[in-house]
Amino acid sequence: MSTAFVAGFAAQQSTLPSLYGSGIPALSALRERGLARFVEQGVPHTDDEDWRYADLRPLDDVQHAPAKTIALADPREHGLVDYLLGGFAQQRIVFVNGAFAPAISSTAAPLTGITCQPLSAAAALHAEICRAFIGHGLDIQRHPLAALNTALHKDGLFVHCAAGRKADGPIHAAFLSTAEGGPRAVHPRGLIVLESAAHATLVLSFQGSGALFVNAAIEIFLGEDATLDLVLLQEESEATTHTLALNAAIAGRGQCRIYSASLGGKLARTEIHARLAEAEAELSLDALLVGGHDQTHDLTARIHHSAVHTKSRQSVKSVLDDASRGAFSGRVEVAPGADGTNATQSSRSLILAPSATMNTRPELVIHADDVRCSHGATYGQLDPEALFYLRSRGIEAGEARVLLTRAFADEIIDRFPLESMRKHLHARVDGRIARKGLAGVLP
Amino acid sequence: MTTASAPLLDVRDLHARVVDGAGILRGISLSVRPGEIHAIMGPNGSGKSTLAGVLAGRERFAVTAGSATFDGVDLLALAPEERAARGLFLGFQYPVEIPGITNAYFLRTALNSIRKANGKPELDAMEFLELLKAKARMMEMDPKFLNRSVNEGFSGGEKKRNEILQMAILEPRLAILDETDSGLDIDALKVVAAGVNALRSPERSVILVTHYQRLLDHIVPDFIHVLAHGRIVRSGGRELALELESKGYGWIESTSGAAT
Repeated sequence: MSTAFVAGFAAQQSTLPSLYGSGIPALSALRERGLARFVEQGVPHTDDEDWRYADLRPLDDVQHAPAKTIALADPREHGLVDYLLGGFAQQRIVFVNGAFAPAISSTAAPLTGITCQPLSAAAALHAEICRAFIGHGLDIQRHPLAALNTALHKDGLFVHCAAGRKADGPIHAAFLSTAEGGPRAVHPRGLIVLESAAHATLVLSFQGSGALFVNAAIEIFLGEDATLDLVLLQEESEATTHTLALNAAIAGRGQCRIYSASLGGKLARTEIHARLAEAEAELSLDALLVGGHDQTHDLTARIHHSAVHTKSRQSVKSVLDDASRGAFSGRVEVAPGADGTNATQSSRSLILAPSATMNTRPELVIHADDVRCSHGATYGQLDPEALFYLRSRGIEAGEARVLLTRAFADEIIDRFPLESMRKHLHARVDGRIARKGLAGVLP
Repeated sequence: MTTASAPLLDVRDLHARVVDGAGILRGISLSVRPGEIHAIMGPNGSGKSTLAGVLAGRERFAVTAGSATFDGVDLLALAPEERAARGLFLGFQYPVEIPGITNAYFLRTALNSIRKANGKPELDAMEFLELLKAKARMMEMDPKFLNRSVNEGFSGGEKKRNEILQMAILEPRLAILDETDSGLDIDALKVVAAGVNALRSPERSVILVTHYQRLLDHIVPDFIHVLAHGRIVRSGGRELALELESKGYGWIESTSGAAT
């Protein structure tokens, strides 16, 4: 059954020729296929096990127009938070409502062989790379929202590191969105290609205001011995529905280290696919979900081990207050012959209020003999004895709650790269923990 | 004795029970004046730790009757942090491990919370570090413990030493030390006792809750009270501890009917 939501996007078929790449037959065809596939499949339903905890039905009756392209001279105008101005990134590339904002970006290459530019430019300047990779990571047949993004993305991040090149400073891609004039949709896109033995540190941040549907899709390709540190920072407003589909294809001895913090959004879903397709490829995922009010955070990870001695580690911590909901579904698939696979998964949750809920679903699908896989999940409240201990030393109840929650979250935050990022996250997490004393915490 | 001064702590006919538990107080009356050291002894389950918990504001206890004032203020109406700000300190029988918060950060936050509540300026990181180092030396504590998570992986003796370090930093007017001697070997006991003795002053009072009299060889109390079945059944001077030592708690429990 087609909903108004789907029909609204179907109607944008006529706009496809106005999007970048319309002169490139392969890209035009990809967009056409993406939209057709989305319209055919519609929005994933909670009947689909993969989407059980991310209910998109509230959007069914809402038509989202494309977010307006607006000129932006001062990033502060639209809540580009201060840390972005702190200058931790040598290179910053900003997209406002999906369109490249050159006035507030700085993309001059600090080193030969490292390219950071909007996809709209790269499609022509680096046509071969784009043709080889764009649309080759995410499976639009199986992922309707990635298909929708493929069809309608206005622009996106393109990062390419040539063989052996090491980006000596972090690159920051900021996706800012506003919902001026009614419900709006934005489709942030990213293509990140690191050739063999290249290294880069990347921060992708998502921020915005208003009734937005932010539907991101990121494709990552790591060559042999390449290493990528990738921070995903989701700080949308609590009126926004945020979905992100990420696919990382990792070659032999490549290492993809993902650090994800999901703080904002009404519904925020992060879906990570990692394909460890060659020997000794590695993936790590350190994720923090912080929920309050009636927010929903859904983290879904699918790790495919299909070569020998591949390794993955998933560490997830969730802090859930009020009536917020969290979900972590982590599937590890070990293909026949992928011997020597080592996969670990842990999910620990701090439940701050009686109405907050967390669902953890570990799933191990193992078709090889010689593998080491483990998973563990814990749920708990703040320890009343620890709270009393702090209070008995003079620390006020709300402050004690903040301190203990921070101590819980710090284990993940402290693994994030970049001091300024850790500082920012500390401040954000502290700020999110309402200083409302002990209601609902103690029995 | 300083009978002329007003009591710092005045407990009258206090009745309390542990929520979801067995501990109970059936009418405790106790006056502690500035500078006095009182020892509260008694067998297991007599209500010693219940009394310590009620006075410090542990929320698992419900007070059903009676009163307790601290420096003339209704102690039982105050939140635990307000009691701490007014100068009450509880040394825990089982100090809590808090992963992720360093001892130094914890202590600075605690001290500055109390200073702030009393209208005093907060100490900055440097000033605090000086103070902390000096007090740690006094407690013969390895500085490495200051940068470790609170009590995490500490031995029993290190935890108790850490409690006394906290007391030394916070400089309370009344310290209630709940079985601070339990689980300590004789060397650790001496260090802890020295820490307490170093803080003795005409203004500062201490309540030592202990099962054994051996702590009282190192910290000499002015008064000893014996608890049984949630009541004080004997009060006296130091000689009472010696009598208990020779006769055991069975003697008190069997004669407690006459005592009350």
